[in-house]
Amino acid sequence: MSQVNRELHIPEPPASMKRARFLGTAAAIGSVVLLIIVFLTMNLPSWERVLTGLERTLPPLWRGFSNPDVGTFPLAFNSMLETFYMAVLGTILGGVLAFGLSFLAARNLLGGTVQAMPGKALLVAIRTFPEILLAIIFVAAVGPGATAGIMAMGIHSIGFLGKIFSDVIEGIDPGPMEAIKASGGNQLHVFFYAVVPQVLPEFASYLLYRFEINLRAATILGLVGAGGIGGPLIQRLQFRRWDEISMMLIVIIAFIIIVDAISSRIRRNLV
Amino acid sequence: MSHIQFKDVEVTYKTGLKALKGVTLQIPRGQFVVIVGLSGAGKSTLIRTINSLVVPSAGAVTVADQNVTAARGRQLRHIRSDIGMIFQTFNLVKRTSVIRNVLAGRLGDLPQWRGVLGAFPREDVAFAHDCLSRVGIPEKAYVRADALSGGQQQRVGIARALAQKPSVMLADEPVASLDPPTSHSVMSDLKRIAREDGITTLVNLHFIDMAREYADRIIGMRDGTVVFDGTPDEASDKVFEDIYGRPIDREKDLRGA
Ligand SMILES: Nc1ncnc2c1ncn2[C@@H]1O[C@H](COP(=O)(O)OP(=O)(O)OP(=O)(O)O)[C@@H](O)[C@H]1O
Ligand SMILES: [Mg+2]
Repeated sequence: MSQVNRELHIPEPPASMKRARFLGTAAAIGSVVLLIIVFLTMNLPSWERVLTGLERTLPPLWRGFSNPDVGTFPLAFNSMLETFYMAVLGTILGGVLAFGLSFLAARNLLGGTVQAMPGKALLVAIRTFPEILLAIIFVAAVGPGATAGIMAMGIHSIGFLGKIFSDVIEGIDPGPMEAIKASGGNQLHVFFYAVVPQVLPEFASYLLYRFEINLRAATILGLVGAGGIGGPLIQRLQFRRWDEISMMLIVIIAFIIIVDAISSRIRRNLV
Repeated sequence: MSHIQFKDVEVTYKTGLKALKGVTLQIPRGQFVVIVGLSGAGKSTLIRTINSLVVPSAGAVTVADQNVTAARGRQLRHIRSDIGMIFQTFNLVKRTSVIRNVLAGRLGDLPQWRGVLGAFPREDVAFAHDCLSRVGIPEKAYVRADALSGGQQQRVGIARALAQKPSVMLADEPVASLDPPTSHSVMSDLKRIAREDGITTLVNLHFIDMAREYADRIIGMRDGTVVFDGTPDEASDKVFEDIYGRPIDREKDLRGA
């Protein structure tokens, strides 16, 4: 260092950065204020009631949970298996439909943002329907049972998978497409030899990921009669059969952990 | 009788930029042509009008007496299947095996259903392996394309083009992303194969010394027009300085070996 008393020079940040900083601070303060207002205006139950309530329900709950009912295992296992099949079929249904739709929402394949608009809009529209709502609709339409759940999951998955698939397609290297075109290939050749091989591993990976999500969702769908372990679970909840519920939860959690482990292992090897 | 003919070819891009301003050329069958010029001179544009990846706004290109510029649909695809192309960035499907990349070059002569199902006749598969042997990497057939070095990937690119059994080969800066020794071995493979098969070849190159070494004929482009057209012997340093509009830069303009 030649200069010991060198003046520190920090360049003035641009106006946009200052504005962003100001907005950030404002948002933080605003959130805190909002939180306080909510707490003050909310109709909070009295602490006393919370405590007596807990006192009343915790001991039997604990007793039940620490003694899972072994006799419930076959039922729990079979219902979870059905749940698993529902998730598999729902994911396949959603995957197949999303596969087709995603190409109609990919700007690079259709030649422009405008051409991809209808496809993208349809995917957004599908995503706005909550799964449980779809399940209720399908239970009403096809009757209670796994079929309704599979259809609800399938339709709901289209929104998610179609969006991600079309993002994957839009991110592919255009080079191979041009190479196939230059060698005299038609649109189908370009599709099968330049697009599909580039997107397939990622598609498979996201499909598995969606399957993991669907398996969780499928355990809930039974609450509205759409099949799976949710049905027997809610029955037991109504009668507070904590020991049987405990067994069912153990089966659900074990199933999900194992399936996730296998699925994420496959996914790692895919991409 | 020339193999490739440019007649007053003009290209105006959508942006309004005129990239070719009336190019007329005759290229005889089997000639190995190197096109040189500064960045933006219109070299890529020129090469791409030959397979109609860029469509001229005026004039016409003919290959073996077929008007490429006027061709559409099936007819254009038929013409293209006779024209191989290799790219600076190779343009392989990286996650697929080398042999499958090469086989893609056979699609033009295949019935639609076979192409879609990937059901290549045994002769085609054997021929694809032959093409890999000709570029010196027969042992890489079942390796994924992204596991190869740049030079090897470009050889796959050449093999894919050869699989078309082309009479014309287009190469847009085929060695620009390779190191000097690899550049030379790829260029000499390209030249050797063009000789052996009598393929009319057009190559865009940045480097003066490589142009002189491999070309039968050098075409110099500047600002959308042909400003030099002659043999490597005629392409003196003075000529290159005219094409580039500046003194030769030993660093940038020579590849070395
Ligand atoms: N698709 C396009 N749309 C608009 N302008 C383009 C397009 N492609 C090329 N151009 C312009 O046309 C001119 C010629 O481009 P071209 O790619 O043919 O040059 P080049 O000689 O190959 O250059 P380089 O050595 O950089 O590859 C350039 O000014 C370029 O910016
Ligand atoms: Mg170029």
